[in-house]
Amino acid sequence: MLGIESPRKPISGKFAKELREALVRARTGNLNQSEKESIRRSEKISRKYNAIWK
Amino acid sequence: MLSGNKEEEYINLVFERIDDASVLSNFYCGIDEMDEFIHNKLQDYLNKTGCDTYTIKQGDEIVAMLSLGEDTLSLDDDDKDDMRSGFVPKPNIALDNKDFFSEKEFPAIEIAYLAVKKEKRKQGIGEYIISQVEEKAQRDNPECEFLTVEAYKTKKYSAVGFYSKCDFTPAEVPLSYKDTLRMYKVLHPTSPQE
Repeated sequence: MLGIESPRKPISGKFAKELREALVRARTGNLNQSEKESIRRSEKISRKYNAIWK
Repeated sequence: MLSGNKEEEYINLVFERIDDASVLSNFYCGIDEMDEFIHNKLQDYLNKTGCDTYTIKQGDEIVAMLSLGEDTLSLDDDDKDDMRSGFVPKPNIALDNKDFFSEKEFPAIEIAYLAVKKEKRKQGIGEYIISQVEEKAQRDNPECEFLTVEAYKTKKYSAVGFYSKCDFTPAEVPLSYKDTLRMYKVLHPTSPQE
């Protein structure tokens, strides 16, 4: 598993644009449909499991 | 510490921090490279990095392992010029907000490793763990606005589909010399507006 050892370059181009847009949506609560659906899915799966952190 | 107070019909998953990788000696996720890492390199990784690593138990059975580290998402300083020049299409929102362009480094929590026992896949455990990492990050690191991951991606196995399903977004084009794809997920501090 090399993931954590992989070189990290700054995010650029369209990826940086998408990230900034997503961040503004999160900060304002003005989420898009995909993000709302993700939250709903998390809520649904949370009705099945219960986490206990030790 | 209890993070929930649910009735008994819920399946309890116990997240227990570990310093000793030998507790995972009988744990196999079915991905050869990951199992090899867990059994032969995880202890060294724990000793060197101090990353928070957890077993996730259902009853007495370890059904998953998780390791979290600190990360920073850095944006290329040229991206704002690219957007202003039109080389990259301008953002649809918040373009007038000067703060929009001034920030270029963001603290993040990295999912360094996440493995679910092969027999326990397709039951939503992985997705639930991600949701719990989100809650934990917002609870313990309120300044943190992102989760990141280097999603495993080889010809034999790819975790990119799983993380996409969990609403992670690629932060780069796939690179032939890497067996991972860097992805991120924005943490949502507010409820969605209907």
